[in-house]
Amino acid sequence: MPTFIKPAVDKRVLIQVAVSVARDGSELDHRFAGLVDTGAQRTAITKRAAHEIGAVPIGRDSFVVASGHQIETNLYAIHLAIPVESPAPEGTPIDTYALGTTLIVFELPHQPDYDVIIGMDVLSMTHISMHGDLLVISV
Amino acid sequence: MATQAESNHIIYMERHKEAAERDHHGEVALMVDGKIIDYFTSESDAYTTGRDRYGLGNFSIELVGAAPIDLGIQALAFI
Repeated sequence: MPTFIKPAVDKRVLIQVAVSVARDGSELDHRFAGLVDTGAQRTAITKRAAHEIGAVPIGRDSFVVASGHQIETNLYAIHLAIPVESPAPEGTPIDTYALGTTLIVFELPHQPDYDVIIGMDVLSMTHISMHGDLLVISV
Repeated sequence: MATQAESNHIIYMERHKEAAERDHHGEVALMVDGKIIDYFTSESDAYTTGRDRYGLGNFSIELVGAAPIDLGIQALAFI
């Protein structure tokens, strides 16, 4: 089973994900930092990332934030791929990704240091575990 | 100029929401130019049909009766 291991930094795990509109391999041209977030029901991407990959809104819906406020925002359909091999030194570009599925995702407000929240719609398709500060994802 | 997603959502909320939630709760509506074309049991089916028949930007989907999604505490908001 292909496995990806990533250490947590400051109690967060950011992994490099590849995103595109179509499932045609172009996702490898668009890589973004993704936050692994088991507290998010669904995956979401920033408007900046959606614009970069050429995604157009396909709907509107609402999400709630920790403050309890509801925010209406755009929905996009994207193809998201996640890494399946551990990079050799940290920072080395990742070239092996698991091909995922087409997802309907929410548009996020600007986030300071990542463009994708990887929610439970994606994580539930994998086997994930934490050992100390290491996150292990198997696809 | 409003996108199909924006204009269709306004029309959905004003004209279609009540009947859609009564008769198609949990389904996904495919909309074109303010009209509901069909209902689907999955988002991906609605999206694929809309993309293939009408092209990206020319349709939208509505998640009928869906509760607001929780994106977790890490999703920072403007408010």
